[in-house]
Formats: sequence, C-alpha cells, structure tokens
Amino acid sequence: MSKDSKISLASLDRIIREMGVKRVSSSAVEVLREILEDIAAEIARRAREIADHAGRKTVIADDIKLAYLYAFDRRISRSSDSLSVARASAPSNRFEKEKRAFEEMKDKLLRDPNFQGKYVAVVGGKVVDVGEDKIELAKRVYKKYGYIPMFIGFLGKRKRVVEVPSPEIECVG
Amino acid sequence: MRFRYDVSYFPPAPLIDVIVSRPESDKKIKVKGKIDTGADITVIPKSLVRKLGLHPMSTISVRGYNGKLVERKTYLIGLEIKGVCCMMIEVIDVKRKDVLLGRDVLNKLKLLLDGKKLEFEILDP
Repeated sequence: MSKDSKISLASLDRIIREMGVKRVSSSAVEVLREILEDIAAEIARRAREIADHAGRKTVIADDIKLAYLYAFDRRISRSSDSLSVARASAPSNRFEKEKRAFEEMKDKLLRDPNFQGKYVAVVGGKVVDVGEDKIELAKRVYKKYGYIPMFIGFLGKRKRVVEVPSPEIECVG
Repeated sequence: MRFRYDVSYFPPAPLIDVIVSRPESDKKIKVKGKIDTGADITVIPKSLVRKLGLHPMSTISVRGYNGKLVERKTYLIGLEIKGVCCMMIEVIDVKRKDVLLGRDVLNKLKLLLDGKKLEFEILDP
C-alpha cells in the first residue's frame, strides 16, 4: 500500500475477481482504488456537513447513508489528462428526482391516515419529515440536513392555486 | 416608517429596499421590492435564484393575468424589510428586475398608501 492510500490493492483485486474477472492489470486496480477513495472522501465530507447542521460532533450511520445518496448521484468522467469526478446532475435535477419519488409514493402515502392533509418532505427518495405547515417543515429539514435539494409535496385533495396577475408568469416557462 | 414612491416608474410606484437571503447561510442580497396587493404570493427575480444558489423546494399552481394555470417551482427565502420585519416565505421566480411583494408579506404589515403625496408608511410590523 502506498503511503497515502487507505484501501489495499489486494482487497480490491479480490473484489474484482469475485465478479468473475480472470485477469486484471495492476494499473486497473490502482485506478479503482483512486476512484473509491475519492468517492469515500466525498461521502465523508458531506456526512460531516450533515452532522454539523444537525449540531452533532458525531457522524452517525444515517449521515453516511444520506451523504451516499447524494454522492452516488455523480458519475466518473474522463477528461483529457486525468480522471475527474463530475456532477451527474445539478441541484434542479435532484429536485426533479425527489419530485418523481414523491409522485410514485403519493398513492400509498394517501392511504396512510398519518399523512392525509399534510405536507411531506422527500430527500434521497424517502420521506424524511411530515408536517401541517409547509414553511416550518422546510425550515426543519434544512436545519437537520443542511441546505440540500428536496421536494415538499402535499397529500390531500385540495390544490392550492395562487394568482399573480403579472405578464412575466406567462413569459417564463 | 415613511417611504417615498419611486418616481422612475410611470405612474410612480411604492418600492422599498428588501434583503433576500438563503436559508442556513449568510448569503443575502439587497433588492427593490414593489408593493403588489394583487399578487397572492411574493415573486423574486430569476437572477436572485442564481446569485444566491437557491434550490427549489416545491411546486405551486399559478394563475397569471390571462387566467392560464401554470405550475411553477417555489423556493424558501428569508425576507427582511430593513427596520420593519424579517420572515421566511415561499416564493416563485420570474424574469424581472425587482421583487413583487405579495399579500403573503403585506398581510403581516399595517400599510398606508398615500398616492396623492406619493408616499407610503409602514405603521406596524
């Protein structure tokens, strides 16, 4: 193991071979280690931020799970001179993902009396909090997890419609 | 607190300095806010979303001046009217240069518009 590396090449070599690979070059194992260490560092960094926002000094398992959901929303891209980790999606795309997750869960949640007529906050594809006041709910989620993309949806029959008699509303999609 | 109408608008309009901030951060920007009693919800310029790095948090159905319903993303922001009040509100964004202060904000204030004198007063936050 090199001085700065935290993951052994031997263990990664075993993981690759367990996937049915018969021959693997040493440089391939080294690149895998480089990528995994980069991802682990990113998850740890995000988990620390989540714990900080929650006012905790201890990073707990849920922090790692939530950080993983966001860190995994990335892809490896090869630039001309080096491997780089690039964002697969912007925050607005993550918002769309959370919104889709809400739409998929909506019918099931509507059958649960604990959720009827309430707002739910979706982060990482899961309901993380519920409440009757949308703004208080948003504030709680940001306080707990930091300023991360989420979607807050309403579980009820009424649909709130607001009027803004301004021409810009029609001009911008 | 008493304020003058902004005469650069025709006809002159009641505008006030507001500070918009991002939740859980120190990021804030001062912009002009136009009092709009016809708007149910406060509207912020699209440029503020970019500058403050705001994330959408929900969606809402909005009926515009032609009666058409459109679904828009909403954002949670901190809004401060200097020396008057500070609150967290849900807003939508459009391409415009100033903030439209809707009744979600105005209904928390006691406001006296004196169009004849081109001034307005916030009597009670």
